[in-house]
Formats: sequence, structure tokens, C-alpha cells
Amino acid sequence: MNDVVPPGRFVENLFEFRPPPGLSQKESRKNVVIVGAGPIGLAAALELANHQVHSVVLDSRAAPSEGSKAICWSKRSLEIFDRIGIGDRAVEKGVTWQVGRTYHRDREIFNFNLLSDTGHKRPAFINLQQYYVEQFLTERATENSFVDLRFANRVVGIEEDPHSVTIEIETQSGSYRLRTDWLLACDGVRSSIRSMKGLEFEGEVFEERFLITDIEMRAEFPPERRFWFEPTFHNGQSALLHKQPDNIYRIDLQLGAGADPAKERRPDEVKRRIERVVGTSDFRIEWVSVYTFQCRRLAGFVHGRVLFAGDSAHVVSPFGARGGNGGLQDVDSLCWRLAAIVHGRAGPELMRAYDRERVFAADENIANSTRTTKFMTPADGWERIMRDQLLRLATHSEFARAWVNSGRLSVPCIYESAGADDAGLPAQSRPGAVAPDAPQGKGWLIDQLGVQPAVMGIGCEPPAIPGARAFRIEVNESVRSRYLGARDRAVYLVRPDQVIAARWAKHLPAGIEAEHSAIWKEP
Amino acid sequence: MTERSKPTESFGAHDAIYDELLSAYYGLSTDRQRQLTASLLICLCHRIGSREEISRALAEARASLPDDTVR
Repeated sequence: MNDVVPPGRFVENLFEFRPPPGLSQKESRKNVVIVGAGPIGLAAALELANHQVHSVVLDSRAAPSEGSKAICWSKRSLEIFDRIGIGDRAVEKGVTWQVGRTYHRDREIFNFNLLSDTGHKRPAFINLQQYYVEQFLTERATENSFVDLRFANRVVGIEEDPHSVTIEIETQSGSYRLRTDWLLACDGVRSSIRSMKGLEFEGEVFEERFLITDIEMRAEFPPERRFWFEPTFHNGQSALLHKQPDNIYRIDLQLGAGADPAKERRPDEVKRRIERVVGTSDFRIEWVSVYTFQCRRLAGFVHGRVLFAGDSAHVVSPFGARGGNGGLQDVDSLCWRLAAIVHGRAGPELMRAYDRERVFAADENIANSTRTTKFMTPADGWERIMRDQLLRLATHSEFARAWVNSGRLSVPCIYESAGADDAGLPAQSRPGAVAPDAPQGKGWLIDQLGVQPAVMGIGCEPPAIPGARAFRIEVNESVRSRYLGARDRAVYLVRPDQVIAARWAKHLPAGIEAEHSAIWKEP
Repeated sequence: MTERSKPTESFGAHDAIYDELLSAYYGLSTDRQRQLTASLLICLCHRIGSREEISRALAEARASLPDDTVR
């Protein structure tokens, strides 16, 4: 992403370089060093802080990211934001949206409403520019004593031994070294740590070029996601329009495989295209970039003491909001385990569980986003015929609307789990799934699930086990449909990342202590 | 699978379906035939509903391709 009009909205001095202690004296060995102060790196630092783990965060930049980049934050991401202290700010500033409309040529073929399922604290999605998320997270990280945030600190080399990583860092005032037990690479799609390790992505790269732009425009467009297949205003290619705060609109335009990026990025060319989308010339281009898609990942995310999370580990096309949201879910799966290792509760082999879960999740995200990309940019021949016929079918056959794929929006995957289960309980809360939220009095269930394991009694008293918080929850309609199903009582064991570990409805709760210790063991 | 073990009872129905499939394609250009096939596949898959059944049907169909076109 380059050729940028800087957004210029960030707090003065927040990202300023401050000479690190390592320039004048050797620093003590660190538990965790995070490379990259984007949303994933900062979220990891704050989540580790929730688990009383100190970290140093290094970033070569001295400013927030340019352009709005990630804009759609999912319900699950907002729940994670709540845990690291920026949930309210994000929702307050963001544009909550629930309606998506899909058009073929200039006619709406269907729309969806993501808020059909109520009784959750957070909405299905908000739109918020990545630079706001980075600003909010940076402010939290700056005031958090567990996080040592260092901008304009560039990693130029790493040396590894079986138990630590030594990092060579350059700053404007000189170089220094840090030794750490764990290095967490959150340095994005062009990860320098990945290159230093000589690791390569595996998977598909798509040829099709897309123009992505953010414009500032006073307009009465509703807060909806609008997607067009073959609109008349854009030469039969696809187009996406999405509203962000501050009268900013995101527009994605398919340019075709033969497009010349240099020409397409020219302001007059961009302006001409956008005028046709929005029907006015009264807008200001804030950011523009021309890109191609990749749907790829590293073979593994754990390499000795170097861990990868977010775009450094996997990349997807943007039409499903699975990049940033997927990265935050990496943080979710990683940090409590890393904390357990740092605190000596578990051995380093527990990282294999992170690797297994998030590779599984990355494959789900990659599969979804690859399918969307194929649907949006079909190859000539059979792919094209199938796509076009499906769109035609969708205008008069209602079932076919669900087959139209303009993006399958991010939801957390359900991990494979060997945890105890009961067939009479609802599928949505089975072991491996994130605990569904539900109203609780004037509050929410999700807020009662902290960073400690929890034992929830539903219609019964939960058993007390050492090291877990046990509490009884209020049974209401939402709880009944999400947690009880055909049963009248149940006990749920929930992991520190709010994923359900095991559940019981009969023989309450046989083997719960073993299930509890299994959370920290790699089978 | 049960239909296959008792084929004689539904000869008439098969023949009529086969005839209907042919009739639907008469008079269409090759392009339009392919378009119709695409739409028909999607409609049939929707009506069958089961991913497993569809995969099985696809495998059976693929096995019927002449040898020199199987990759």
C-alpha cells in the first residue's frame, strides 16, 4: 500500500522516538519482544499485560499507518477490544452497520441483515479506519506499565539459540541488542522477521488488480455495505462501497488483470472512476492504492522461539474482513498460552496448540477468501459461465441469492476439540467454539468471562476447582437457546480466550479437573 | 442406491427424464447449452441439498469421461 495521502489525524508525540535504555547500557533479558506496533502487535502486548506478562514492542515507523487499511471489525474483534480496553472507544467512533446489499448490474439482487440475532453486547460489525484502532491501542499501551513501546526502532537482525532470540536494533541514535525468550513477529504482510528467517508463504496469488481508495465526501449514503457485480458505472467489473467515520468512504474497484497500476493510481484517473461510482465530483481522495490479492500462509506459525501472528503469518483477500479480524483471533489463541509458558505453568510445547489452532483457522479464512475471489474474478471459460449464470439465477430464484459470494464475513472458527461434550446441548456452544454472548441482568455474559478460566453453572451450582472462577449465570431466553438447548442444566468450562473447553449436562461434571488441566497441556 | 437394485420399475420415468433433458437443449447454441447446464447444475445441487450426495454424483460423472480426457 503506497501512493498515499496521509490522513494526518493522530495525537501529537504519541509515536515519537525516545532513546531506549539499550543504547546506553545492556538491557536485562526480556520475556517477550513483539515486532510491529500495528493492531495485532499492540493487541498482543495489551493481552499479555492482562496476563501480567511484560513485553517490548518495536516498530520501525514513527507514525500510525497510512490510509485506512483494515476497516471492518467483527463482533469477536470488538469483544477482544473490550478485554484490552478500547471496545467502547472503537464502537463510539466507528460506524455500526448491519445491512449489506448486493447488486448485479444496477439492480439489487438481495440484501442481508447481520443483526437478526439480538442479545449480544457488540454489533456484528463496525467500520473504523485502522489508524484510529492503532491510535487507541497506542494510547492504552503507552499508559500500561507492562508494555514498553518503542517507535522508530528497526530490527535489522536476529540470532537464535534453542532458548532465546537476540535482536539487533537500529535507531536514529545508534544500535543496540535485546535478548528475549520469545519473539512475536506481528510485522505485517512484508514481515522483515519472516524474510530474516528465510520463510516463504505458500498458496495462491491472484493476478487481478484492484483499486482501493478512501474518499472524503458529504453524502447521504446509509451505513451499509454495497457490492456490485458488473455495474454499468464501472465497465462490468465489480465494485464495493463502504462507509467509515468522518464522512470517509471506502471504494474497491476491480481493474482486471491487464491494468497498468501506474496509470490507475494517477489522481485524474482515480477521480474519473470514482465520479462514476458516487455520481458526484464533490469529494476529496484521501488514500489510494492498487493491489493484487494473495491467499497464502506460512506452513507453520511457530518456529522455535519465533512466533508469527496476523499478516506476517497469513494473508487473505479483503472481501470478508478476515485479515485484521483473523489476526486478532491469533492474538486471542496465542497470548494466554504464551503467558502460561512465561509464568512456568506450561512448557514451550504448548505453542504447538497455538500453531495447530491458528493454522486451521487460517486455512478456513483462506478457503473462504479464495472462493470469494474466484467468484468475483472468474477465469474465462467454465468459472465465468458458472458465475454469470448464478448471478442471473439469483435475480429470480431466491435460493441462489445465498450462493452469490461477494465476501463471507469473518466469524471465529470452531476449533477441533476433544473436550467433554453432551449431544443434547446446542451446537453453537460446543467445545472449540467461542462462548456466545448473552444478556445478564443489565450487563453481558462476555464481560463476566475474564482472562482466567471460568466454570459456569447454568441452572445449577458450578463446582469449585482451584485456579478457575466459578459462577452461576442467569438463565434467560438467550442463555437457554445458546447454552441449554434440550437440557435444563449444564456446566461449561471456558478457556482464558473465552473458547469453550468442555461441557456437561448429565453426570455433572465428571472429570472437570482433568479437563481444566488439559487446557494447558499439548496432547 | 435402492433404485439401482430395482431398475425395471422406473424405466418409464428415466426415459421421460432423459427425453426432457434432451428437449431442453434442442435448438440452443453451444454457448447457451453451457449456460443452461451451469444453471441446471446449481438448481439440481440446491434440490439435492446433501454435499455428500453431490460429491458422489460428481465422482460417478467424472468416471464416465472417456480415458483420453481424464487428466
